[in-house]
Order: sequence, then C-alpha cells, then structure tokens
Amino acid sequence: MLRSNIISQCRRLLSTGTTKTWASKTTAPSLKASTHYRDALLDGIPSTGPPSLRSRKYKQRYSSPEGINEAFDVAYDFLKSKSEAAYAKAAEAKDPQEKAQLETQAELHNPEVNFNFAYNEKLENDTQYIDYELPVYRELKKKHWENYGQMLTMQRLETLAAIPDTLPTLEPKAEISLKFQNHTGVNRWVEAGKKLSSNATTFPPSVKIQEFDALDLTKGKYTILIVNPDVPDIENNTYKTQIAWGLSNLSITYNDNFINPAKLLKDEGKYNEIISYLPPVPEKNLPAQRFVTWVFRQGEQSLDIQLQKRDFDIRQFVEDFKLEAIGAHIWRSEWDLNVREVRELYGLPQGTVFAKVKGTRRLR
Amino acid sequence: MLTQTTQGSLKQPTLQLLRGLRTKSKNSRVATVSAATQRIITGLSVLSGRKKYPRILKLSNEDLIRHDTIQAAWAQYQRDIRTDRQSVLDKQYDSIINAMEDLKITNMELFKIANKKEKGKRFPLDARIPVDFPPNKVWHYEVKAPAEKK
Repeated sequence: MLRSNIISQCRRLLSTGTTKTWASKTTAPSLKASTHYRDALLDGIPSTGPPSLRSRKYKQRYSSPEGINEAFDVAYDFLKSKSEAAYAKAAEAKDPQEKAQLETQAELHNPEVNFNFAYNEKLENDTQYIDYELPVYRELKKKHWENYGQMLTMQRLETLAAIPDTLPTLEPKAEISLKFQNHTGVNRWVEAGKKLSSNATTFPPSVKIQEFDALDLTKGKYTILIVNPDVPDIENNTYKTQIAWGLSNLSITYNDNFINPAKLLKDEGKYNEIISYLPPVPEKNLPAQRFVTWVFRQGEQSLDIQLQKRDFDIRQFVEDFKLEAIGAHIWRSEWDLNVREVRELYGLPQGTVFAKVKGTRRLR
Repeated sequence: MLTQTTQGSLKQPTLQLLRGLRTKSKNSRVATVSAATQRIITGLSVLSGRKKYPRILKLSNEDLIRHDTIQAAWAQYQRDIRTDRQSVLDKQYDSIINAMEDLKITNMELFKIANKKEKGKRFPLDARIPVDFPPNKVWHYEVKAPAEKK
C-alpha cells in the first residue's frame, strides 16, 4: 500500500501532464479545464501549492485533505464509466430532447466541466470556458439561475405588481438579463426592480435571452416589448400603459443571444422594430414608473407590424399574435435632473409638474 | 410576571416587576450543578461562539471540485445499490401477487386460508426458513457439539 502510494506520488511529480481523459465525444474546448489548473484538478495539488491561489504564502501553507487523491482517482474512474454508458445510450437516442438529456447526464459530473462553470463568468458567453451549445452547460446554468436569479426576478415582478398590471402571469423559461450598454450608462447588469437614472436610460437597453431548453433555434423567433404601465392619464384620472420599445423577428443562438446595438447592426433588415425607443422621461412629483421588459417566443411566424401610437394594450397584442411569454425584467425610473436633457435630445415637449403629495401612499 | 393569587380570578391581574426579584431561594446558596460542570459552563461562556465550532475546512478551488466529484460518485454508487435492491423487491412483490391471483382462480378456499389474518401470530425466529426444495446435503454428519468446559 505504502509502496504503491510512493510510486503514484513519484509518477505525479515526474509527469508532465495528466493522463486522465473524460469520455467526451466532442472536442469542444469548454470540456477541458485550462492548462493552468488541469493537472492540479485531475492529479492532485502539486507540491508548489494550488494554482488557483495567488499568494505564495498561502500556496505554501495549503495542504489538501488526507486521502482526497486516492478517493478522487476511484471516483473519477467510476463516474467516467457511467459517462461512457450514457454516451452509448445517447448515440442510439432518436428524440433530440432525450439525447440532450443523456448528454447532460454524461458530462454533469465531469470535474473539468464543473470547474469551468464554477470559476468563470456565466453571462459573458465565452465559449472557451462555458459553451451553452452543450446541453450540460445549459443545465448547470439553469440550476444556477433557478437558485437565485429566477426567484429574484419573479419576486420583483410580483411585489412591484408588474404581474398582473402588464400580463396576468409568467412561467419563466429563459433567463433575461438587461444592461444599458452605452456611453451614458454604467456597463453593468441591471438588477430587476432597480431605480435607474434617466441619464443611464437615454438610449435603448441591451437584452440577453438565455434559452435552456433543447430547441431548434434556427426556426424560432423572438419578440421583445418594453412597456410602461404608469403613464398618467389625466382625462380619466388614472394611469395607462404605453409601449416604450418593441422588437420582433429576432433570431438568437444559445451563445449569440445578446441583443445589443452591435448585433442589431449586424442583423439589419432581418428583425423588425415595432416602435422606436422612447426613453423614460417621468414627470416631476409622480411615483416611480415601472418599465417592464417582456420577452416572447413567437414561433416560426413573422411579426411585421409597426405601431404609430404609444398607447398599448399588451394583453390584446399577446393574444392577437399568439406570443408565448418566456421571461421578463423590470426597472424603475423617477424624475431627476437629467430628464430635461433627455427630453431635449428626443425633441419631446416639456413635462408636467404635478402637485407634491406628502406621504408614501400612491395616488388612486 | 404574574402573582399566583390572581390566577383564575376575574380581577385585573397585578403586575410584579421582574427587577429586584430573587431568582434563588435564600437558603440554597449552593449551585444546582456540580462544581466540575459549572467550571465547563464558565469556560464555554468565556469563549466566543466561533471558537466553539471546529474550523471550516478551507479548500482550494481545485480541491473543492475534487471533493464534489467524490461526493457525486458516492451518491451515484449508493443510488445504484438502492435501485438494484428496489427492483428485486418489486419483482418479488409482483410474483407474490401473481401467485395469489393464480391461487384465487384455482382454489378459493386455499386462497382464503392463505390470506387469513392471524393477529399476534409471528414467524418463530428459531424455525427453519421454508424453502422450495430440500437441501442437497440433508444432514451435516461431521458436525459435533463443542466439548463442554470443565
């Protein structure tokens, strides 16, 4: 036992690279950990310390738990045999859903895949590390999203009453992330429900639609609608819904799914702008306005409608064109000192200053 | 804290202030726990909460993934054993049901006897387990009782 341990230790020290390879059937780069970490991940932490630690002091001080190397070798071989069996089943599977499920199963416990997913940026879609074309990464991301992002978005949509003020309900199927990618905004993902400065929202947002299901994305098209249900309707002493921006016939892939100015410029002529972007210009002394981004699967149909008026009945629209809501996002806007500049930039008339209402109760 | 006398009466209960209330009786000055226990309690109360627990293992990123892989393999191994055992049990259960169905068709009386409820009656632990066929080796002649100690 001792001798075999020493031999394996020696082999570990002498070897220039790991001999372990998973049963993967594709050569996607994201199925391998980067060379900097790979040997330490598969063969154990070298005597120089874990490569993931930066400081030399902590590298020297670090020691792995006892017996982890032996246990890992056994576990790796065991899981690899399971993976081979799953790949063999997947090769025979006819149904694409079932095939994706088996391929997920085959790679789910691959330590390199788990390492890549855990320690890399999950929203940037860098196929070197995380490739959402592979069903296993979609599954991992879905779990990750369901644990926090999905719950947060749904909570914000419900507490801010975007549901049911815009659409009756939502069964989230895709992760929607939003960012104002321009010179005025901070280049950061917007947390659902956040109040944004009107300066940041001067130009249209960029929306990321991350699909998780095994779909034929070459055929399916997508629609994005941004509605504001808090526009004051003075004649009727109430609020009404207006559309702030609408895009349709958008096509995405699992990795190329960030609808930003660059992508829109590239896809010029392929998509349809339902109505041009009207930035949030809230009136003074009114409560914060909600801007709800809804994303729909429109199927294979083409939606070539163009609206002239901003007043909008989103429920009717969704029913008319048989859109399937898959995700939503929300931000809020309040009057601030930048509103005047935004109005001037878009040639909008001056806003109304409402009487100040003391207290936090909303106007009814 | 309410006084004992007001309980059960319809009168407004009088409140007694807790501050200055004696918590131990006058004559029992001695601690209710033994001195050794008291020492441990004092020692623990001096320590901060964090030090009462063993330190969390700090794993590097690589070792954390290695640890998770081992956990996943162990869980899979246990799951395999569980599913195998369950499938055997399922098969056994199905064959019992099939046998009973056959018996029901062939002889209703025997079926009733076989399914009679015998409350409190258990299978004796020292009885030989009933099997379908007699053993190949009926009697172990060479086995002898161990010699008794003198």
